[in-house]
Amino acid sequence: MKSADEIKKFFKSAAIDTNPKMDEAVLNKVLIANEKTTNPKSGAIEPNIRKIIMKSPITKVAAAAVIVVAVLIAMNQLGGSAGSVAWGEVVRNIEASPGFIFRLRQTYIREETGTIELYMMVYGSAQYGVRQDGYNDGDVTVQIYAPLSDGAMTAVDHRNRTYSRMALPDDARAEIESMDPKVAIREFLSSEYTKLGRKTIEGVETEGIEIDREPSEAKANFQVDSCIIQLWVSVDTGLPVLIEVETVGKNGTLEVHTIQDNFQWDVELDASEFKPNIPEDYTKMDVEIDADGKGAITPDEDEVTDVEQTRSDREEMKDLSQQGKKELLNVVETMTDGTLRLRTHLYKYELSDGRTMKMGEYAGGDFALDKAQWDELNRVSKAGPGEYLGTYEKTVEGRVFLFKRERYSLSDGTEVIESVGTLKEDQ
Amino acid sequence: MVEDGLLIWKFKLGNRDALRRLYEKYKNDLLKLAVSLVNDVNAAEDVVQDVFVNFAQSADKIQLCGNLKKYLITCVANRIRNRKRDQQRHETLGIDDLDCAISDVNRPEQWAILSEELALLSNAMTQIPYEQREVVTLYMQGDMTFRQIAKIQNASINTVQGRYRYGLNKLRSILNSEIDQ
Repeated sequence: MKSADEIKKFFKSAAIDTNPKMDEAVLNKVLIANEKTTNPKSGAIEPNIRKIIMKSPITKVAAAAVIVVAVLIAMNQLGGSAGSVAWGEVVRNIEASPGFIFRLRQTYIREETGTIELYMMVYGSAQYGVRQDGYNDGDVTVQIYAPLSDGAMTAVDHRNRTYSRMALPDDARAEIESMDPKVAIREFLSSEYTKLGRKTIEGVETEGIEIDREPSEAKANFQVDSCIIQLWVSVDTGLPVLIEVETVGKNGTLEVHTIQDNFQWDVELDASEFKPNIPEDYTKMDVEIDADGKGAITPDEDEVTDVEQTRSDREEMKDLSQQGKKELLNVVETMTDGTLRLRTHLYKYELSDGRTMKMGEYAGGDFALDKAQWDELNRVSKAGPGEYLGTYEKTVEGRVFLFKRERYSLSDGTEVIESVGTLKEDQ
Repeated sequence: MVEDGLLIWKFKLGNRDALRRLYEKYKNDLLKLAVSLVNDVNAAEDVVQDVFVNFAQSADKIQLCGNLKKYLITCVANRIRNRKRDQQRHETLGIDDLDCAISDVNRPEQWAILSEELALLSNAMTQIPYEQREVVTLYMQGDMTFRQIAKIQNASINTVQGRYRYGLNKLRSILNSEIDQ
């Protein structure tokens, strides 16, 4: 055995097997552990759908466009024409509904770019239009309003406390107008389908059908290889309970999975539900949607937008920083395995117009955690304090700071120690 | 990758069958890796079980992007490192003193059943320093890159490549002498 290849082959050929009885026993432990931590089902985890939570960070404005595209794709998988005799009653029941609410969960899985996961509630009214609320960890993080009366869509990003109005291209506007599930499901039912029999969904007895849609008929903003749609309707009420769409595209490299459930029909939604609710302190962003659904900041007509203001503030703070005209407020150090990953300093600045601004600065560390680890650390540290490890004093830039150390364990086993230093004189 | 993404997505939605399939798919790879790293079947089984239990409890934290196999391998490697560190704190032994020889006697409740080749390999691995062993195992068996291993070991890529060379040479020599006997 001489070469590395030979040793690698030996590694690969060295087999391991498992005892089936123990396999089951370990799997059982794993499933029990999962059971104990599984979130409550469906509606139980929904926050108040009328509530707008402004505290939690969320997806950026660009993501709003992605969400809209997601809904458009999901809704427009349901194309077709004419009615079905067997399901005619379902169509009539749906047509009698003035408005609807449903939950939409969608995942884009793509090898090269990873995965985008969306969770939203969709509110629709034949009279007023559509509103989508995107959620993250149970909080409303982004809201998109697409009123029929308006040629524009408004996205409110509660994470970044910004909002934007996006003029919709004509084809997108037409698609929003055709988003009413009444129309879509009626068309869906007219297609050739296979009966799936009955099953109980969340305690509701349902009957289902499946459509294997021709790729050329599937409407999507990517090349479709296959598209399977399942519709499950309540035997009791004759109204849809669940729609699942599994689409594979781009020669098998992209999968889009969509689940629409928690349907509420026969709801009359008020016009106010479709009027953008924008807190006063939110910053207006000017966004254009490009072909990929990504947003780009553009200046207003007068070239003096809030975005420009923000940029000029940052420029001024940069100048002040170089001149040393700033006050250090706190220091945060993040370490793993005794190595500094990131040190940030938060400074306060007095701007020339009298405003006071704060801005963080990178002050050291190799930044070696990956994005998923930083995201998880961000989440767990926001969720609550870590394991308290004590305090220590350190002088930074001539001032004494009292550091509080806390340990967080990430799901991949990485232990992170975060030390937050605040001015001792303020204690 | 796409298949894993779908399984994780279903798992995050509470689908137990998806979790079962992920378990079936990766348990042998993880056990083999753990046995190579610790040369103690009991400890390897404990680590892999802990990794799966922790994974099962982390549906809300697991990211859909990235490579699941490498994520789980990293979890195994980190757990073994943490375990060794904890043992060192209590026993004041060196990191390489913590392995014990694989028992020839299979316990009735033993989960992992090792082939002769794996037992031979695992025993040979105990004779090289842990850091080198980790690099060789993660590279050869876990298909990880030197950059990824460098991150786990908190070392430079050059250091990791050096450990790989030394470890591989030593392993080659041990295996050749074992096979000759």
